[in-house]
Amino acid sequence: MKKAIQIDMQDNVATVIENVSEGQQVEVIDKEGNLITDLKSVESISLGHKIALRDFSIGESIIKYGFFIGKSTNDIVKGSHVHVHNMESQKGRGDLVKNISSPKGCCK
Amino acid sequence: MKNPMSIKGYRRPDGSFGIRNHIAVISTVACSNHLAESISRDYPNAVPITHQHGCDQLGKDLDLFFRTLLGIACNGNVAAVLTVGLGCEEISAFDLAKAIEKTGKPVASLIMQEVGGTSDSIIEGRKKLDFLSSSLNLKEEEIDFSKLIIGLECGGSDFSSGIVTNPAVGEAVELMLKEGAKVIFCETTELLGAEEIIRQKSATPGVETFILNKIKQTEEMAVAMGVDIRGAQPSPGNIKGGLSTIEEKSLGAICKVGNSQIQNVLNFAEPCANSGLSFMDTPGNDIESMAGLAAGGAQIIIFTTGRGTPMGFAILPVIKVVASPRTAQIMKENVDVDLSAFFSHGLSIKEAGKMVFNSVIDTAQGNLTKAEMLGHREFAIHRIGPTL
Repeated sequence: MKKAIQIDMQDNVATVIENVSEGQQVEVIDKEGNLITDLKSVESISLGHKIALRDFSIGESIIKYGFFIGKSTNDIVKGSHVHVHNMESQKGRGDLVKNISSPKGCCK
Repeated sequence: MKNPMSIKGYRRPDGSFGIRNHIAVISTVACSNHLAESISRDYPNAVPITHQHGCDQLGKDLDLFFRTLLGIACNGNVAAVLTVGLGCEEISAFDLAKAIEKTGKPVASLIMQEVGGTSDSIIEGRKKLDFLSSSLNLKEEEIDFSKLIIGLECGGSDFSSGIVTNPAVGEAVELMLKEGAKVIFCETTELLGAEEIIRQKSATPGVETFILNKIKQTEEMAVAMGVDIRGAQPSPGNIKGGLSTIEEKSLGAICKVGNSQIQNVLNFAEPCANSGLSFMDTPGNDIESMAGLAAGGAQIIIFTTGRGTPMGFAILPVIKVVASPRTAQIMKENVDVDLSAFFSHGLSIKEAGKMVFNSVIDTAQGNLTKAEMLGHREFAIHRIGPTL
């Protein structure tokens, strides 16, 4: 059985601590090693990457450490790999700001 | 009986202490880098401090450059200083030496345009270095752990940083603060997304406001540039290591603080005078950030890494803490504290924290870190303005 660590009880993703193949059963444990739950991976997930602990619709909050770490950019099925292909940051997004004014003192 | 917590150190005229006894040969401009390096060669205590700046800098950027070099010179690990310059730069080697003199530390300076060509300047510089070497305080004395200033840094983070290494450092921080040491954490960029934790851990409203403003300014800078911070935060290496967003990286990085409250705040390179845990406003770039910590007086840096980095620092030992099993294996020669047993043998975070704490004591007692043994003496200048 492969293992994943869920850092906070509110988290909806866990970090796999071994390479996981598609269809493998994954035990979700807390930081002290106590079993929380188990689920089946729907795809291969590399060591250190995140597995979805539930289904997500597009635009939902991804929670790790008990806090918001980004939003889903696709629907995500429980047991999927959660990473930059299906979630994104909401911080420092200069690319999302329209009509950026020139910094002071900058010539047009 | 010898106190197991006492460490070996060198007393400086200004009352500070060092756990290393370096002579810093500081180049005040890129043009004198070769000179600084050539003079230092063959002197085991001498460390050349070189960089690509010092020319055509103005205003706040120039002030920060000056305070960084001055802070490095005043660091307790530096026994004596030789400043070397070309002669036409904004901050001359003479000006810098004059400011260092106030600490009572042995200092000399050399300006190439007043001495002559490369060869004559090297000969002259070595004469000055011989003199400084003969004036070194070689007397080691037992000093209390509370005389230490310890900086915290992370680089090449991955999934293991927020789960193992940073929480372990958090445990160690608690132990170090209990012994009265000063501890500084930093890297403002890597607090984006951890604002709620800053609110919880700030000891005073002043501390909270300072840090939250610095985080906001950093985010506004990225937004004003019209760029997506995801181009650099998290870095491609962080992403390979499982970190998806800056929020996730920051929430892992802040674990270095552990359960401690943040008592004080410092601007970049500002001397750390107050006991307890302090925050220093530094950038995410590891070498520049470490230069800020060293200029603030840190004699040791604890550096957690996931993907692995070999980095040391010019004038202080950098303790490399790793938990990623792959990194611990393939970069073994760069690892001081291997916590990968968390994954393989059930090492607890508490035990891991004790291992980090013990390595700080060992290092302060004179044992060399891997980066020191391998000759890593990195240094870089943090800029806040353009070269004009």
